[in-house]
Amino acid sequence: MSRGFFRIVVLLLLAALGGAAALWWPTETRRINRMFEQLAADASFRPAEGNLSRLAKVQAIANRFTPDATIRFETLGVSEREVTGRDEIRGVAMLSQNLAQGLEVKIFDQDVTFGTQPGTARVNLTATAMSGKQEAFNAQEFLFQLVKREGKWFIQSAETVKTLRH
Amino acid sequence: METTDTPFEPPRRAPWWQIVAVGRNPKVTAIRLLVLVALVVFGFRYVVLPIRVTGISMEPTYPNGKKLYINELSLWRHPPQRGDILAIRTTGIHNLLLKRVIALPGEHVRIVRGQVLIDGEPLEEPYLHNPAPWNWPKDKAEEVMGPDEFLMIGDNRTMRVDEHEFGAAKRSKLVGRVLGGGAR
Repeated sequence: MSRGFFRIVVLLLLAALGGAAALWWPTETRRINRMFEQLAADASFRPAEGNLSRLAKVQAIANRFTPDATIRFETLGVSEREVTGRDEIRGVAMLSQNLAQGLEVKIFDQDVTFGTQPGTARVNLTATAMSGKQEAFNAQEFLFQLVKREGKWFIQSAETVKTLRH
Repeated sequence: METTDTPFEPPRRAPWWQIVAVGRNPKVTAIRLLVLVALVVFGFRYVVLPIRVTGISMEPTYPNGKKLYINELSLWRHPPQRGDILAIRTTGIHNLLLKRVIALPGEHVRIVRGQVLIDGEPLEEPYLHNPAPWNWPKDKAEEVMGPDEFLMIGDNRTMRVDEHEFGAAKRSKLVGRVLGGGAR
């Protein structure tokens, strides 16, 4: 094997290692992104999913919010609605479990910005929800305000953002 | 005079597995590969964006499930024109809205019983089929587009006005035209 070839292999390996480190090194942004990925997974369920599993997911969703969290939701065909506190959030999450065909929530294009006060952040993202083959809502933009408490990020407020000014 | 014979050395051939894996010249192959990867990544990120239509808001022009390509360079030289079908970004480019340009910056718009009026003049829209009698805006006489705003509406206006996502998009939200011009 020529020396040139060996050098290229070593360079490619180093580049791959650097890329892997850049991709998986645990930063605050990555922790927040992972939290939202888990939130989307908890909001999703299969039609055949058991009640215990569903209850655990509902609880997990509520626990990602602060006790006084607020959600303001307005989307196509749904007038503005506000939900406050973990109990109400749990109730809404329970309601979504009534969809007979299950629900698949996906999130895209998270943009994390850290606040000037330490332990605060805002996240813009786009979410889609599919129930069976029907879209539960179009691609919807959201804005989340987060706070860090005891080393863990919690959602303090969430609201839908209109992509088009109507 | 003394001469020395240098023994003839045939050029060293790379083993067959190396030729199969990385070609006769690994350096050239590596450079080609890097250039190709860069071109593909750049091309599919900044030039041509493949999308699949989800939903019915652009029917009958683009039915649900249709695959399209967005030309991201198309708005560089030619600003959006009325009738263009454009992709609009959300928080990124993984989910785009696909709508038609109805009104341009600075124009006054209203919709009366399904008829779009631009600065008081009716707009001819041959791409519409059985539009519902929309009245918009609801709380004022007309909507004025901002200096960098475009009114974007889908071609399927058979549903109620509050069931169709439309509105003004800022120029910075516009990604590009549908490749192939977009049906007019």
